[in-house]
Amino acid sequence: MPSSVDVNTLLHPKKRPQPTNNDKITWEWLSFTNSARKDNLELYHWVRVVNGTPPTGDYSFAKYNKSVDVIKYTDEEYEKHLTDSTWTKEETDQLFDLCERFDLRFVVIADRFPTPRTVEELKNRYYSVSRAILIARAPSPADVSGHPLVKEPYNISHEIDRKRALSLVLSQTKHQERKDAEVLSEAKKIMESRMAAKAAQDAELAATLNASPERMEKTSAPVDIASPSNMQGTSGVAPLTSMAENAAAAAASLRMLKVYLRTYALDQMVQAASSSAGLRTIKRVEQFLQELKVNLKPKVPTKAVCAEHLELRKEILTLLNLQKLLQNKEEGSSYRESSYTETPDAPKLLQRGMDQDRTFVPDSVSYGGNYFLWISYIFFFWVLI
Amino acid sequence: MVRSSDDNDANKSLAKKLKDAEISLPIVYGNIAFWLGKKASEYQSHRWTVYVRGATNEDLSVMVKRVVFQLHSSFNNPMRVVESPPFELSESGWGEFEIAITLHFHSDVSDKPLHLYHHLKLYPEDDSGSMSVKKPVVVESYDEVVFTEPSESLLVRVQNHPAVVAPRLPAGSLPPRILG
Repeated sequence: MPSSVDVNTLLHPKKRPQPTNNDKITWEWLSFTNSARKDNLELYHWVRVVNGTPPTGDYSFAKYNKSVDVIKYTDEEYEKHLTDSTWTKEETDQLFDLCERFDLRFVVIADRFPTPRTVEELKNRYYSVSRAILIARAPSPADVSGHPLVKEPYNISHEIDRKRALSLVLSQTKHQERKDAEVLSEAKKIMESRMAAKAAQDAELAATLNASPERMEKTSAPVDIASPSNMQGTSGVAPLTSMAENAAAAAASLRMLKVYLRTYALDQMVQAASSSAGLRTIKRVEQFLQELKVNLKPKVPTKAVCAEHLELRKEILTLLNLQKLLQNKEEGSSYRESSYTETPDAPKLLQRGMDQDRTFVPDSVSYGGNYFLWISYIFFFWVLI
Repeated sequence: MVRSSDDNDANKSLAKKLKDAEISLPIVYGNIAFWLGKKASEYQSHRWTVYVRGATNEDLSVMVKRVVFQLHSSFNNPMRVVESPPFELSESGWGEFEIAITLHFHSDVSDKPLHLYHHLKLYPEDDSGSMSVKKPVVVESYDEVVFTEPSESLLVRVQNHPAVVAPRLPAGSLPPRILG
C-alpha cells in the first residue's frame, strides 16, 4: 500500500494533498443542477466523496456565469436624453438587445447588427447612451462622478486612431520591418561617418601626443618639435606641430608672467591641449568628466592635482577620438559586408587609406582615389535614403 | 662634450635664475560674513571680513609684502591697503560685489603683483536657509601662487618655510657658498 502511494505522488506531483489515512475516498456518479441554468436541467457527473458525504453547495463552475447589467431606458427617457441624429430608436433598441444577449461582445454584436455599423460606432452609441441615462437618473451629477462610465467617456476618434495604428504595425511584413531598420541604421552610419571624418584628424593628433606626453609638458618644446619622430614631412603634421606649439607657447607665456595662479595655468594648459578639438569634442570631454564625477575645475588645484587633471582630460580626448576612429573603421568593414558589391575592394582601400593617414605615407594618388570612393559611398547611401 | 655643456648651463642658471624650477605659495582667499540680526540696519546688515591667508594659516609675509583690497566704489576710501599680516579687511554693509585683491610681493620674490578676484558673499546659498546671527557665511577658494624661475637666493631664503612649497636643490648643484 505505501509503495502505491509513492508511485502516485511521483506520477502526479501536483495533485491535491493526500487525505489522511483515516478518510475514505470514493468517487460516485451523482446528479447535479447548475444555478447558471434556468431550465433546471439535471445532469450527472463523477463526484469525489469523502467518508460517504458528497460535497454540498452550488455547482462549482456556476460562478463563472457572469452577466452584464445593461441599462434599460424608457421611451420617455429616450425622447428626453437619448435622441441622436445618426441613430434611430429602433437601431438603438436593437443594439441594446444584442448587448444584453451577447454580454457586450461588440465584435459579435457588430456581426449580427442588421445595419452596417463599425464596432467603434456601436461602442460609442452604447457607452454614450448608458452614460446619459446614468447622469440623468442620478439625483446630482456628483453622485455618479466616480462611475467608470462617467469618469472615462468613450473616445471614438482616439479608438479609431489606436486601431489604425495597431493594424498598421501588425500588418507590416518582416521584410518591411527589416528594410526600415536597415535604412535607419544606414542613415545613422552616414551621420557618424561624417563626424568621424572630421574627427579622424583630431584622433591622430591626440594619439601622437598621448604617446609622448612629456613633449607637452616640457617647456623647451621648440627643440622637441624639431625631433625626427615628429617630422614626417607631410601636411598632416602641421596641426600636431601647432598643438605642441600651443602647449609650449602656453607654458612659455606663463613663465613670462613670472607670477601666476595655478588655476590660471591649468586653464591655459587645458585650452592649449584642446585647441585642435572642436567645440563639440571639448563639450564631450566635460560631459565625460562629469560622468566620472570629476570637478571641471579642481577644488584644490595643487601642482600634482592640476597635472593629473590635465592628463585625464588628454586621455579622455584621446579615448573619444579613438572611439570615433574605431566607429569609422567598423563602418568600413560593414560596407564590405553590405550587398553593394560594385566596388568590393573599396572598404579595404578605405581602411588602408586611413592607415596611411596615420603613418603619413606620402602616397597621395591612392589616398585621393580612396577619398573620392568614400565620398561616393556616402553619397550613394544618401541617395538611397 | 655634452657633459661640459650641461655643466655650463647648470652653472649659468644657478648664477642667476633657476630654470624650470618654481616656488609655489598655497593660499586661501575668501570672506566670512556675519549677519547682524537685531542690530542690522538697512545699509549695515552684515559684518564681513575678506582675507588672504596661508592654506593652513601659515604666515604669508615671507613672500607677500602687502595686500590691496579694492572695494565697491560706494565705500569710503575703496582702496584698502594692508601692509602686514593678517592680510584681511573687515567692513560692514548690505551688498555683495566683486573684490579685487592685489598681492604685492617682496622685491626678491617678484616685482609683479598678482590679481585675485573674489565675489563677496553675505547671504546663504540656499534661499530656505534663514539667516542666523550665529552661523556665518563663509566662501573661500584654494589656489597656489606660482613663481617661475626663482633666484637661488630666494630659494635658499624660503627653503624650509612652512608657507612655501619650494624645490629642494640637488646637493651637487649647489654653489659652494650655500653649502658652506
